[in-house]
Amino acid sequence: MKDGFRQSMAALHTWTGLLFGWLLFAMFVTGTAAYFQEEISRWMRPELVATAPPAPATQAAIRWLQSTQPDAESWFITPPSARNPATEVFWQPRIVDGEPHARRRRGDTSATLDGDGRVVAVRETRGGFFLYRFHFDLHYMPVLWARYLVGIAAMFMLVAILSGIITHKKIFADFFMLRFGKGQRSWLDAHNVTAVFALPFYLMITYTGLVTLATLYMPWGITANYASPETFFADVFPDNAEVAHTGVAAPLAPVGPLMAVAAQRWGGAAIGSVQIANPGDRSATITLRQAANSAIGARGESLVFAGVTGRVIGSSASQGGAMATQSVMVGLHAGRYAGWGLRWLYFLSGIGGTIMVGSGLVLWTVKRRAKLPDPMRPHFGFRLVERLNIAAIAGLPAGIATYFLANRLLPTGMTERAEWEIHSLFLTWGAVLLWAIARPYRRAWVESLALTSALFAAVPVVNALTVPRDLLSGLMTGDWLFLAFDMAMLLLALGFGQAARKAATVTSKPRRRTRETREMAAA
Amino acid sequence: MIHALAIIVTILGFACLCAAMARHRKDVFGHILTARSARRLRIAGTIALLSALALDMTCLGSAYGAVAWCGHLTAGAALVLTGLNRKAARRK
Amino acid sequence: MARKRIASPQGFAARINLPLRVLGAIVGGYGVTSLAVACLARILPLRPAEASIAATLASFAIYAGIIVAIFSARSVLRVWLWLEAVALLLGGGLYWSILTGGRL
Repeated sequence: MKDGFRQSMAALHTWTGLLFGWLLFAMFVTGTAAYFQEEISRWMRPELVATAPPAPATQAAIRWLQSTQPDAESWFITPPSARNPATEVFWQPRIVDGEPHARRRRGDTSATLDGDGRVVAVRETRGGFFLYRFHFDLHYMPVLWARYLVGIAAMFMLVAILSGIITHKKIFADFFMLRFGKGQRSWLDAHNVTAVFALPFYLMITYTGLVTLATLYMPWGITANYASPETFFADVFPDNAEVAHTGVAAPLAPVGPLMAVAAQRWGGAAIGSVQIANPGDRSATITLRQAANSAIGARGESLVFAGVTGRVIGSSASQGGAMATQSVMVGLHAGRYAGWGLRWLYFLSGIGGTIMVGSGLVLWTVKRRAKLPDPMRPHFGFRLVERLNIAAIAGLPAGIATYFLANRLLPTGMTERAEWEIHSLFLTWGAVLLWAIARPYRRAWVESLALTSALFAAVPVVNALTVPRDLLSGLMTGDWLFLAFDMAMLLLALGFGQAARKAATVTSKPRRRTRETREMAAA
Repeated sequence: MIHALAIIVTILGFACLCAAMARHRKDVFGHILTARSARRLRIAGTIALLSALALDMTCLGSAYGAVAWCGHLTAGAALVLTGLNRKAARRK
Repeated sequence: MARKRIASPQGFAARINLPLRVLGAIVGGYGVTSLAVACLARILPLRPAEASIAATLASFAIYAGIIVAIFSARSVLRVWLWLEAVALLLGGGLYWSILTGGRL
């Protein structure tokens, strides 16, 4: 009885894995990179040198906003932190009745300031934040489509994990089994080992990923109890009612003391964000949110102050069990709470997942190639999978290396610079796909992997050549980031280089002499 | 640093569990062990892994520690596997 | 050792077997999961907001479980019969619950 069940689970595992394997590979790559999105953003904005204490920097940012955006509906300030030395601000312009609601581009309503509240002359880039957003919003498509697509992929992943566990016959006996040089068996070993070693992580990351966008995928729990989303949100966040703009001007209380009050309440935790609604008005409110690294739960505590008097008028309501569970699940997925040690563990597990998906994709072709009726002329579907594998596994990493290179090489004054950094990623990815289609299969693997290796190796070199010397030395003293980034690039270059070498030296194993091979040999 | 210490403990744990397995015993020790020593190794390995959990939860907090422990298990298992393959390759 | 065979009829029936199973799993499974989540949200003895969220959190496990069950079931016909029956039951219960209890 068990064999039929295992077989059906094996088939289910193979197809759910293959059909969304390429998208899942891309999600794993960008998701893994996103754990260091702040560091990547910092590397991509080398002009940001000095950090500043958060309270004065926030006050300076408020001064800047008061002079440039006095009529905005709300201001949102992210104070400098250990991971980001600059102050990030964005604002929501006031919508005047009667004026058409113009679609604003992200860049028009945000700015990066230094500790003194001045706009930093920093190259236009979307930094590591782009990789994070690509993870679930993809690119070149409406965000909603992308989120549905990644949700379907995540659901397929969940089923693939469950069916994989069921079908893996000797999960304990084969725990340490990794044999090299045995063709299909080696790929299966690699797939099994990377899958089993971080299995709790994959289960967690897939399920929590679905939960993060759960209201999009499964709104029925809410619609069953609430006639409209508004009534649900009013029930969950009773203190969040928007206060009407009175039109009576009143100065804002200084924010430094408020931040101290909040920090004290939260046992010394840092302030993650400062949101000011109706600034400059008598009805202004200042909402302080706890920094993400204070607790696992994503929905951190917040404190609301009256903007003019500085008196506490509200705080985040205590959460029920289900809400707290959801908050922790989202927090686990994003990993913003993690310190350095745990963050690296997240990153390594993500790399493991990337290898797991990649080895699964390659395993599919290796296994099927042995079973082809005519190995000299595989059918179209098979050839498609082979080439898409190359494009996914070598192409996207090559694109990311190019993204970093473009950040250093594109002229700073260029229009749409940030978008062109992103275009360069996809142009490279597309080029690898075309190369993979044009070249013979084995050569395509070797050349694509070698190209990826070369691109990653080029990053530290181009960095040294393009970032001004004095800036670089200023950064090197006591700043490990650039050193670590260079090391990471070199390690990736080494990894892909090794892969290219292995791909070049693989020889076809002598196949079992079946009737077909004998006929082929005879012909 | 607590992470390094916990990973060392998981390495010890997985090394014991690995050595207790018939398939890998030869690779680790160069000779076959008795069933009793295999059982002892399995118990020792399990205790080591659980000790790592206790260590993590004590030093990092129960929730954070439990999550970190999963990562330490992964790292320890991967390092033991690497060591095992190196040893097997040298034996050849 | 008795081996459970997945029913494999011949001809057209054989070819449509897999697509029907896939359809049942993806579409039918989603439908049943949605109804189950909605019913759970109304049945769970928690505050409405809490019940809604709790049911939503469980939904993906329910969906995954249904998909695995469908692909290990013996016959596609049984799969669809079960899907219909459960959907009717849950749907009817949900309808009655909303009719009598209303929504916030």
